[in-house]
Amino acid sequence: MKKNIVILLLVAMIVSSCKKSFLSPSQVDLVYNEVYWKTSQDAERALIGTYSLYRGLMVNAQMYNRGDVTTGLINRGWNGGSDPNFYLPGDYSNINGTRKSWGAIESYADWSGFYKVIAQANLVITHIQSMDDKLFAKGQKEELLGEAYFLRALTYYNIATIWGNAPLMIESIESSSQVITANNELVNTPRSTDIQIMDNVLADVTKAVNGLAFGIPGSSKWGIRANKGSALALSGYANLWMAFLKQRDGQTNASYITNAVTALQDVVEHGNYSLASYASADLVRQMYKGRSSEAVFELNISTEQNESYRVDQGGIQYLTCKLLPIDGDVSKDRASSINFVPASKKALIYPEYPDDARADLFWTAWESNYDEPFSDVSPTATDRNMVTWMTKFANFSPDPSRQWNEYVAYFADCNIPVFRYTDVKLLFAEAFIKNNQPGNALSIINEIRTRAGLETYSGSDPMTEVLQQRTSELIGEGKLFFDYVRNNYFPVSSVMTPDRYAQKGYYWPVSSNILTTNKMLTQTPFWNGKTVW
Amino acid sequence: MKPLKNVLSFGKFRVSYGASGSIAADPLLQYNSFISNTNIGAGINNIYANKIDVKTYGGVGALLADFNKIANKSLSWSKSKEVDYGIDLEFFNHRIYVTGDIYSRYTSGSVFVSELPSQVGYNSIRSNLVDMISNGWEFGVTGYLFPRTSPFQWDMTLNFSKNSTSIAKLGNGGRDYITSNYAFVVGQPAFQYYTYEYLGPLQSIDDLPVNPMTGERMKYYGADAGLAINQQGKIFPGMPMFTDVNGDYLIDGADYGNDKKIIQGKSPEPKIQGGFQTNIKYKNLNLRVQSSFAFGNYIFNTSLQQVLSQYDDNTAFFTKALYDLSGSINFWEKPGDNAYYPMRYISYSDGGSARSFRASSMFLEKGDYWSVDDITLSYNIPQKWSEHIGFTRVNVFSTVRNAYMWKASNVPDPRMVTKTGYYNGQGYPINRSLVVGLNVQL
Repeated sequence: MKKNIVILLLVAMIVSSCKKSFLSPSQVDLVYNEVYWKTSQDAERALIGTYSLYRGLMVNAQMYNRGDVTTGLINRGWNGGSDPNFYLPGDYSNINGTRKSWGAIESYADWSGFYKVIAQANLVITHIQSMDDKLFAKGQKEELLGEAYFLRALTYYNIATIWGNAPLMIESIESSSQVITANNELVNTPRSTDIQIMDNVLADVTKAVNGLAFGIPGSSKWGIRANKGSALALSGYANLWMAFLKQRDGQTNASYITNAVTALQDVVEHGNYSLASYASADLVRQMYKGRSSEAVFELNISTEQNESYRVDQGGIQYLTCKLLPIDGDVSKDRASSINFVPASKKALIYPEYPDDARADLFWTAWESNYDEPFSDVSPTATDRNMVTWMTKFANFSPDPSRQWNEYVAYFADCNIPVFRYTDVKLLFAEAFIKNNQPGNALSIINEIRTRAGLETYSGSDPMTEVLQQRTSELIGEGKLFFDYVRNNYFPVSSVMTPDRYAQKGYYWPVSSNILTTNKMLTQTPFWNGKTVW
Repeated sequence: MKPLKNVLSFGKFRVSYGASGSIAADPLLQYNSFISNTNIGAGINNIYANKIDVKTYGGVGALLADFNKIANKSLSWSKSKEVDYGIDLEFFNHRIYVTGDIYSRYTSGSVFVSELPSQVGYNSIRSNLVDMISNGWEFGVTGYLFPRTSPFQWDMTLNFSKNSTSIAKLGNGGRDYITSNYAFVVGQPAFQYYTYEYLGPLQSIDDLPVNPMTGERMKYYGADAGLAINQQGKIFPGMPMFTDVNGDYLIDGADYGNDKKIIQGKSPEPKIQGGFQTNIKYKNLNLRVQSSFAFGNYIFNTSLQQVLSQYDDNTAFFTKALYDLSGSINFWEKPGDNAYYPMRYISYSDGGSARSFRASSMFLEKGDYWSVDDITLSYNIPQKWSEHIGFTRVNVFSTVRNAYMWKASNVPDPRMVTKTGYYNGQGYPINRSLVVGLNVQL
């Protein structure tokens, strides 16, 4: 009897599938604009595609290299780590000079990846807008649009802070006529100014803030999907950057500072965030793993959800984590292949060490007094256990299907931070000071200091203290270089001479590929003749 | 008319005009499609090494635009128009046949890919980008040496043809269309090599030009050669010289593309090509020989380049088998050597070297060949004998394929080249075979 039922079912299945596929064939394995965008799930999946692209862009330690290695606080290991050109001052004395600073790192001068995120976001924004409201649950359309506006604003914020002037693309590409004329001429776009781009960021951020709601801690979207708190944090950043640009160009900037204060106040008061405890290394580790009470916006990395990468292939762990080999043999660790903090730079990060608990919470062997990288073959005697490496992102799990000779085969298991609450609080303090409310800033500074085990601040320069606390707290999270540019404050002064700063040499050059495919585009002025391409 | 009729037995003059079109291979080019790409979002460079296939973000499936394809709704067929003038003549009572053609073909809107500026997000677009014009002629003559009724028959056929294609128009304002190994330039032949121009091994340091700006001698750009002795990029005698196209006194030290140029006068298109065949028949015995030839073209010896490039890569050099090239390849070994190929120079550490054996005009060889493709000897057994054993017809034959080839180049088979002249035989030439057979008709 059972057998018969199975056979009957099979026959029924065959009959039904025959009906569909043979008599009315339709193109089903291709999804394109004209047939897509029919349900709210379609809209969400395309939006998720934007998140994915942005994560793909950021996953390989993009902002760590741009935001931290460039500060000069970090050195490269003997056998590996970040490109030293990130922090070497440029030496342009002769045409064959090998030291070109950023002019030697062409892959980081290429913005193609950023514009792919922009293209996807433009597509999502245009199409969700034109979808019927009835397809969505109440508020869902505004929310999906708000997330898309947030991602576009975030990407343009990155572009504007990295390259300054850049093409501004806000239309979705629907057909070839937008990129190529009837005469087969490519349609080119020149660089808009940094202020024009930041204007657009601010407009998008406002739309995101209006469309989004605050997050609910512990919900499935907490931390990894943009909410009103994420958008307000970005608003704070964008307004303060705009204030910097306006001041640089000799224009009034007070309104941007007030806007930053308002936005940051809103996120602090209503964002449902709280500072994580630094009581133990475990708690700190948990916070960096992700989705903690500090998760204002992070990019999801999770082995459990099959969204991870092997840390021996890339990512921030590849550059920063020593990694204990799975078989326990420490002589096979990566001690000589990672970035480390040389002893001479340590006072710039934790001037009050050993009182500062963060030195040991975020790093191993902070007490090490080696200025040289560890190497088995180094002429200077060093110790592999005394490499000062960052433990913030040392969350990973072994690859169950690793090969026998893969000793450090781990999958990463911690989110990529974009904004965290500490970061927002310190930015709030910075905005207060710039808004002539240093008293309000002081209480934030002291909150951060107390958590780190330090006395309350007694000095007279709260702005420098805010930047010092940002350095101590946020090192490794891709923020510092931009903070330093915004405030013209460089702890390692050789990375940014006053001359280079005055010539806007804090902006990156653009790669040769970009220059050759777009005839209307010119090199970032400071880098003319200073690149290897 | 009578005397002429004795000479010319048939004559025809042909004029033809035709238009045709060919459609682009991918019918889906008119759509902007979405893909659930593999490893979006967390793919560190090498997805195989990375070992996780990411298709979601926060557990939700993702779809994204296929940036390799942008909808081009105006993409159309590439059209070609051809005019052909031909003549067919027969002389001396069907003893000599002559046929000649001269043609001109204009192909408009060939579909090629052009790269888009990066701010667009999409990588490239296929469009009707290139117009080409092909001019050529064909000529054939067939002669029967004996009267057509004679039991002894001997005929010969000789064909010649020549075709040359050049670029009539390019999109994007006529901007040169340059790929990694060929380049289209308006007015130039369509198929030309675009690569480094090899000038031979350096004989003496004194032969190196001096940069008047710096007083330094010409050196390699971006090459590790000489790094060990703190002389990075220095060119030593025996190392290859390439034309410094951009005039910066730096020869591209690897395949960076700085000093590539169109190699003039060495086209992959033959100056003349054709075939020759002959049949000799006496009663039941028949001998047929077919041959083909091409002269005046240059081909790129990909197989030699791949073999020699192992000398540029120290890992390959120490781990892979090297070919025995003694006798066939003449490397530079000491000053004064009149060698065509530069010295073998093994890089030392990070894999850097002068990249002497990168793709360059060093590997351009004359493509001239004459090949006897097919020799067949057959014999029809007289009918009375075959009927005796019960068959209508019995034919015994023997064929030698690829019997003989004369060639100017070192590639195993100069016929196996792509349209752009690159040898694609991948090491297996067409084999020579001997077939002995029996055809039986019941």
